[in-house]
Amino acid sequence: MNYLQKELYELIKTDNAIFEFIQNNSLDGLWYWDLEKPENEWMNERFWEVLGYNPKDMPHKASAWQDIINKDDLAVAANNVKKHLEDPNHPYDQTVRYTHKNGQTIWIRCKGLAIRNAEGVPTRMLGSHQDITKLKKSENVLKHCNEEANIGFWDMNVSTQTITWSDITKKIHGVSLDYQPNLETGINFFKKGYSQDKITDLVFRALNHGEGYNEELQIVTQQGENKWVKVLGIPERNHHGTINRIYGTIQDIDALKKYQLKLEESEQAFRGNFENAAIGMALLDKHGKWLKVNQTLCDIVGYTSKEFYQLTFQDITHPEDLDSDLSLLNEVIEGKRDHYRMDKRYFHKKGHLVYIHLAVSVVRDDKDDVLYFISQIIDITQQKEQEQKLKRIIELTQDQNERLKNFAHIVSHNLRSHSGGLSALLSILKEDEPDYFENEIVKLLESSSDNLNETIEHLSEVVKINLSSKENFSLLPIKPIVDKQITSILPLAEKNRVNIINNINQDTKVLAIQAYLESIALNFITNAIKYRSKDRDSYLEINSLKNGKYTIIEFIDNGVGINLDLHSKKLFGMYKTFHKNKDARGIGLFITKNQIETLGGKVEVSSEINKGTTFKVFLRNEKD
Amino acid sequence: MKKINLACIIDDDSTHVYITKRFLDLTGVVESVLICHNGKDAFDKLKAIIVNGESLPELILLDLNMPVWDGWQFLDAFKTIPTKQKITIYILTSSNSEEDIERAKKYNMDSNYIVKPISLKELKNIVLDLA
Repeated sequence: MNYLQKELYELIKTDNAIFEFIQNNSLDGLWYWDLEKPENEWMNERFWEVLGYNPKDMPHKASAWQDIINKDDLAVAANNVKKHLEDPNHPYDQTVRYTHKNGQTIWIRCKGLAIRNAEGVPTRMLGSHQDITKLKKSENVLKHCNEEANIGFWDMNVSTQTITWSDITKKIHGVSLDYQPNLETGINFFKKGYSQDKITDLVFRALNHGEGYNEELQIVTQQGENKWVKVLGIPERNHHGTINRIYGTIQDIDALKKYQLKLEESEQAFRGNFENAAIGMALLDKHGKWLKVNQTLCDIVGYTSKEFYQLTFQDITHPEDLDSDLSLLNEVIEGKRDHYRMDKRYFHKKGHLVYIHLAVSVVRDDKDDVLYFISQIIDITQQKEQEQKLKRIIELTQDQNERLKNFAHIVSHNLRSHSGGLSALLSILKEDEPDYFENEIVKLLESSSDNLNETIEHLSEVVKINLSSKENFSLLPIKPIVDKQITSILPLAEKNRVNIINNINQDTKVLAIQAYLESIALNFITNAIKYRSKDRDSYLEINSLKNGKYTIIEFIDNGVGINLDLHSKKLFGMYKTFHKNKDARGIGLFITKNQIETLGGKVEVSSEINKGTTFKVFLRNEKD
Repeated sequence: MKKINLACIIDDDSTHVYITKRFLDLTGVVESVLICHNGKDAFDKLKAIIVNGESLPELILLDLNMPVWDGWQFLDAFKTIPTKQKITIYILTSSNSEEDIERAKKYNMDSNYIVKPISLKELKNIVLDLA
């Protein structure tokens, strides 16, 4: 024995002050129990002070602390006393809970040693208290934290290959609290493939090389659910230097990992969209400095990304467009709007102008300050050029239209004037010198003049239709208009034995000009008479039916019919005739179609040779 | 049968002047015809008639498209001629444009609007109506 140790033992025996110092300063309580008179127990002052009581008020009786000890812990302690008294090798060592005078729980590690007489019978028992409340509280906090953070513990005994899992570890694996894992079953929880291969390798390295690990892997829970976990492994060597223990934690990071993966995915998507976008894209700081640009934008403006980062958007914006851009940008910075769009001009690196459509949106931080702007830029130079081209074409067309109008005027006025004069002169000549008209050439002159007049009459009619304005359209009842035309042509119809039946509804109205409606109706009626079949009783049936915003007027006859296979394309053309009828001039259908189209309608035809023809005239029945 | 002492043709086109004059002659009721080549010429000639204290034409056949003064300018100026005499004016023009017909309405002339060429029959009806 060390001489100092020996000296201290002697001092304790002889000097009470030494024992007092030890019992007051190194322990949180000392007790000495008379096993022969078990009601007697001496407790030192510190014993009671730790529990909040005044030692002077407390008797040296075992009963003094019976009411403030936790009943369950007391039972465990009593059992341990019994075992220790029977077998000195059974340690008396446990943690028990007392209730402090202020109601708090005090955790005490309580150790004891039986003192036996010469016969080995225990007569006294000496015990010590150590206040571990702080430690216990920290432990509780840690446990709570682990629960909150979903961190479980595990511990593997290498020699027995047994593993202990904490409750949270079991919860993470989705197993019951009485589940007993081993190395193999533990590894099998990791997802087959990368995760299982990786953990096998990590455990091998820990066992054989003492390497620790910290890895994010996937497990498959007992319920078959894939779950991301973070596993931490710490190998521990014994005094021989061999690994005898690996312990660590397992943390459920599934939600976090999934969120992270999603974020990565969306960041990647954004990056991909940004880099590969067919339109120019850029990130700019709030001063207009380019932070990031994609290749498309570089192509649009001719700068490399490096050159861009030395510039602001103000540098390349046309001065006339800058103010409106800046004022919109300021509205965004001030929070009055979160995006804007505008057409503006950039200067290409080579100096020429580039027209672009710009859409700017803002990304703000948690204090609502501008982090950066996202700009989307579409090159509309070609479109602008097309617009200008189109504008020029429209101007040219308008100009040509004006010329056409002038031409129309020439046709309808000057030409008519001259041809009218010619035919009047001929009629005067005929009056004065009727004999001249026996001459074949003069006769032909007269007929040419008549034909010229007629042609000009038709042309000027067509011109008039094409120049008419939609503002003059009004809703007109059709039936009376058609009736009027039938009446006017009745003698001709009767003479040719064509029965005309007007089935149009009394209240059917269409959007039209009265003169056009009259002309359209008259044309179809006279056509039906002209092209009647001489082999049978002829009829013309006129019906009306509503078809959405159109009203259809049908003219159905049983005449000679038209060979549509041959003539459908030129049926409504000018000076096209399809019959050998001597009255056929080939202008009526052309004018009629023009009139119908001017009214915003259309005409359809169906026909069968020697059976008859149906014209369907679609006319609008309401204003747009 | 009553006669028309004086009719007036205002037209710059000599062919039409000839035709119209021939037709007027053929009606057999027009005594004499005053020919003017445009609106201004007509206005001046009518003023001269007033100055001389003679009778103005009872019928005026007025073309629209003419140099110097067109038919409309003549109509405007004609209003200023002081007379109590009944004078019938017909517009006799090659124009059948909506624009001219609309304009004629404003002068209350739409029922006296004839598109050339006028036939002898038509002119006869007009003249006999007046005579």
